Amino acid sequence: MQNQKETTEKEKNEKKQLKKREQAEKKQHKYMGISLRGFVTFLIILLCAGIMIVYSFLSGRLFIKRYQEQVENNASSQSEYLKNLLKENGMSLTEPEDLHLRIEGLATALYGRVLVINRDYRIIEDTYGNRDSAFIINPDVISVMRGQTNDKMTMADGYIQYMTAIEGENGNQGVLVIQASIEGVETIERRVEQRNVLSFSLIMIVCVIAAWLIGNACTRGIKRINRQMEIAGDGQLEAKLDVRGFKEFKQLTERYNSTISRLKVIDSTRQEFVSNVSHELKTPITSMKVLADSLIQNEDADLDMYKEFMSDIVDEIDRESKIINDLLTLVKMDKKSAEMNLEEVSINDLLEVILKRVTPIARSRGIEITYESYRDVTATVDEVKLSLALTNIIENAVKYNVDNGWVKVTLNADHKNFYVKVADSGVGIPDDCKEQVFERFYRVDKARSRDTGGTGLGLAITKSVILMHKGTIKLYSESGEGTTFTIKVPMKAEGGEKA
Amino acid sequence: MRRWISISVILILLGCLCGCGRSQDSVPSETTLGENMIHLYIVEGDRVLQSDEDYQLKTPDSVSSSIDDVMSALLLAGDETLESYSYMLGEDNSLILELSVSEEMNKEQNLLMMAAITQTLFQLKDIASIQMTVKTRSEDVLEEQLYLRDSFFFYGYDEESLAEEDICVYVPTDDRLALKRIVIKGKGSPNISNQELIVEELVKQNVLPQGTHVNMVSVHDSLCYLDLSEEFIDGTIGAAPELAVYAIVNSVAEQCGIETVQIMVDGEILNMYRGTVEIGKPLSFNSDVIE
Repeated sequence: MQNQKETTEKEKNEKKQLKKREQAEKKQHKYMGISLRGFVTFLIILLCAGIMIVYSFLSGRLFIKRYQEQVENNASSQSEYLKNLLKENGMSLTEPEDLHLRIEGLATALYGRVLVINRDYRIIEDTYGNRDSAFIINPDVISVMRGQTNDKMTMADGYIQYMTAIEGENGNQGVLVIQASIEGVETIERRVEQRNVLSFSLIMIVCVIAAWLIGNACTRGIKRINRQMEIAGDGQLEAKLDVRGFKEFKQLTERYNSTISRLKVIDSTRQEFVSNVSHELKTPITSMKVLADSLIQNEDADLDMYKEFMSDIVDEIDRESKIINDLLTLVKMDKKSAEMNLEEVSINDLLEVILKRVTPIARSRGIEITYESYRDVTATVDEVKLSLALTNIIENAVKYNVDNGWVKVTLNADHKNFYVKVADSGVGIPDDCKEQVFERFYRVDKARSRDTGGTGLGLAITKSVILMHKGTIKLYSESGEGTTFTIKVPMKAEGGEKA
Repeated sequence: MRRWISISVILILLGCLCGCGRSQDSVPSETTLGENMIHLYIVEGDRVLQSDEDYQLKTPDSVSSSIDDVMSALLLAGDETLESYSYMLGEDNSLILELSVSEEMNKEQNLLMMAAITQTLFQLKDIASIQMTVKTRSEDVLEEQLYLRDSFFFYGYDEESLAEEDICVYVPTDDRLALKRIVIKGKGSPNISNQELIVEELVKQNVLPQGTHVNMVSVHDSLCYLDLSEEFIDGTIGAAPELAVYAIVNSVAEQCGIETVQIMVDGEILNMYRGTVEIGKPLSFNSDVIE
């Protein structure tokens, strides 16, 4: 019972911690900046709203303007007729008999008011019946009566007003004021506004949803890749992403998958390398242990036996030491900061020195080394590193050769590069191993390599050095017939390249 | 949380956008006069304007002294066209005013000056009419005219004191059995008739149904056609139908100098109003319903 309680509490604590961690992660992400989805959504909404406002404004204005123009035209054209009648009859409202009715009719038709003002500024007709015989006090009427302006169209709250002079022989004999109601316009304006608000709201709802969906669609691919990258970041490189969605997302997914594949290869190579290093380092130690154990267990062992075993142990120590040195050399060359001590070196001299060093080993096995130089070659190289690389190749040609075989070293150059060709009459490399011979700790014949004292790092070091000089190394080999390595190195190596 | 904030921001933004262009209702400004103060009206260009400073009557109890004070003040406040004045107050509160003006005065200036003076003087309650004679220095009579309170129509003026006028309205008594006459101040506008002001007031007083408005006014000789909206028929009225109808007819007849009123509803002449009042023919002022 007690245990159960403890377990439950532990689980609760774990959940709490997890939640805290998630919240902390969210908080961390929160302040990373504006989200693409939010930005796209906001932008689309803003754009749609802008378009809608401009459209509503323009359409409403245009409609109202047209209506007003119609009313204005109507008012001015109708006024002409009345004006002429008044003018012809000297401002008499009784001639023709139906003039009064016509004025009434105009006011009714325009849903407005008509005022007829005589020369004394007295209102002789008011269709509202309110101001008959009153004097009108209005600056526009005065302006029209004086002839400062022939007519005047103004728009006020709810109506359009048209004032026009009734001309006479001695100046203006009156002013006709026509009001036309535009409450209809206002009603239409209100309706248009209501319609616009309604359509605006509906369109904006659609826009918000559409913007949200578009925003999501834009970021879905990124989210998917992001999620997968998180998983990959945790070390799970197995899963690949399906290539789907928009073109850009497809490209991104392909790039991601390709990167993951490379990472997997690198990871696998690293693991293999670690395994190889462990194995190679362990082998001499195991041999030494076996030799030491044999001596301990053999109580009757004489001094010669001790000497022989100790000599073997020393050999193993040398081998271990060699492996470690080679590894260190490789590590140094792997570093970005690996420096090249470039200087002008005579390649002919360099090869002669190497060959001088290797010749005794070759002679002991009856192998004939021939060196052929077509011209004197002086190149800007790192002498130590290049010497190491060439020594490895030539030594390999001797080591993996048959007794009484031959090794032919050729040096040639053009204006850009020099070429070193090392051919041997050795055992050759099988086709399926040609691509791997430059890998670290790779051996074609593992037993033979160890016998010859190889560490399995020689060709890897050689390739690194050549690449650092921006050169190339190629091999041609027939199993059982021999191998030819061709090295091409620029005459002027500039900087280094990571191997 | 962040999502909710984003949604809220978007909604607020939309709300703001929807609210764009909606104008705020303007609050009309009111000019109040202190006790025994009047506005002075002066002529400026082609307009009659209210002077920046109001005038305090020195002897409000004496009409004659007040006229003298006001005219002196106008003489000082106005331009130099008005040179001198003389006046005489009749027994029936009619003022006889003689003005001496400069020779250069034209017809419009003369009209505006008379409008300004009458508008100023009619603020003195005891003056019923003004008989004004305008002469030049050389004793040429330019104008001789009798002016009443409504002789000038300040058309399209924004100044409340110039635009407003007394509107006579008949409203039901407290016991709702008869009509009584009241006078209100109505702010006129070029496109608003007195009939509309009357109907608005009657709606305010709950005599006519809420929402009732004038569709159209047309006056032919002494007959006024008053077209009301349909709310007049169906809405609730605060008095008997007969009182409602005659509240309109009596008010329009008295205010607008009309003899008969033909009530219409949405452009049609109805025979009966609410089954009790006959409105198929023009109705004239009915003194029987007045208390």
